[in-house]
Amino acid sequence: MRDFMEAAAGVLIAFFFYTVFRKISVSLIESLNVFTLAVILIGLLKGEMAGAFMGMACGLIVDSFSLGVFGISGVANTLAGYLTGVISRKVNVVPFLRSLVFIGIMAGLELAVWMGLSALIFGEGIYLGKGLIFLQPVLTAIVGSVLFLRIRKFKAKHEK
Amino acid sequence: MPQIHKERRKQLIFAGLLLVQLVLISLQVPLGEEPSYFEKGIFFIFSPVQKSVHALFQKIGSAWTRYVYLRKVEQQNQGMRDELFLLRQENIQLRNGLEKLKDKQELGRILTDLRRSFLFASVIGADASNMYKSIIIDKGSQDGVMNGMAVVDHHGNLVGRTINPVSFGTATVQLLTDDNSGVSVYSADHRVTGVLAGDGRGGTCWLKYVQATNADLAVGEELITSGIDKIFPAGLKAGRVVSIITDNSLFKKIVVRPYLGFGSLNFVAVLTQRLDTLF
Repeated sequence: MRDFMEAAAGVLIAFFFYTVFRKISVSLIESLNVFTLAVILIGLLKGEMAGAFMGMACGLIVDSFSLGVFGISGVANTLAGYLTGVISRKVNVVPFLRSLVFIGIMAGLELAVWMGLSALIFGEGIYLGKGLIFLQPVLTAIVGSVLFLRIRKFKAKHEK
Repeated sequence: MPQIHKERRKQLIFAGLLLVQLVLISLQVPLGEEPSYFEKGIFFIFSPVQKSVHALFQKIGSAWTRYVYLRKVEQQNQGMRDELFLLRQENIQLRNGLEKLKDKQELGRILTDLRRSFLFASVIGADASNMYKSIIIDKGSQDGVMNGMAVVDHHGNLVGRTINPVSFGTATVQLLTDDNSGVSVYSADHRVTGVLAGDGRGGTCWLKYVQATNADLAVGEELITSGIDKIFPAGLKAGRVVSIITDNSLFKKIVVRPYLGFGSLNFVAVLTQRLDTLF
């Protein structure tokens, strides 16, 4: 139950930041995907099942607030959340640099799956936000690894 | 439960989640552009959150304007007084012009209907995956917004039309620049007709179905809605032709820069009634 509440809070926080970023600048939501960031963080902290469910929830929210095909972001984020959980159990991604690279790869994978599915379904070029979309994995990696480090430190402090 | 069974169970749940979403994708084939109930449900649940965040931002913004930005108010007031003066003059001239055509009672009815036809709304969100496709506004079915109503900006230029999902308090607006949008327009100078469609990627539009043999249309011409499509009222300004390419194909490739400004699109008006039916 606690895990579910944390995941639901994660979804709401991601949605809040998505709305706030839209108010500040549209370029911000093109260069930093807060939903993918939330999915990867939950996958890292809570495991593959929480990551997959979080991915599905966040992805479907993105799809509902877009005129694209409903389900594409859902699939991409579910895959990213699940794989983040599975890989992070087998490989140590706790050190800052490792988490930076790992989150970057996972965000890149999510973007690649989303672009691949969009291109496959729409059959033509997709919107790239004047190239800003390619910043997503880099910014997600930077923000995600810093947040991951902070959350781990916070948890360690409180567990003591 | 042995570890291997736990792993298998997780893999099965994951596969199930993917399958559900693939079913959701394939369900849209018969539905076309109409969103499913599931999609509408998510929109209904989360759009109030978006509306609340927008309201919070507006409160902070107005506090800023009230207490910190007061020194600009006098200048703004002067600008608004000047604009009001000009608008009043314009209004008097238009009323006089109309009075020649209609009797006073009918004119009063027309003006009342005209005022009721505009529903002002704030833009509270953008399309989550492509900013040129749609926006979310803070007016919904409880305010009288329905699917298929034309939306204009504060200059009266065409922005797009409302599209499902429309919730109680919010609605989605399909922008002119969406690649699935189509508006019947004609050029102001040479009356060349065509369909204005978005390119969906760069904030520009294409004017489609203008034959390559048609030599009348010129770069810089303004495009105005014709009303033939029965969705958009006639007479709304949509954009300006920026380039015309004629190659071996049957139709010209005409690039149009729409008037809607993405940076300044904070307020819009929904036309709840077709203006051309009022007169």
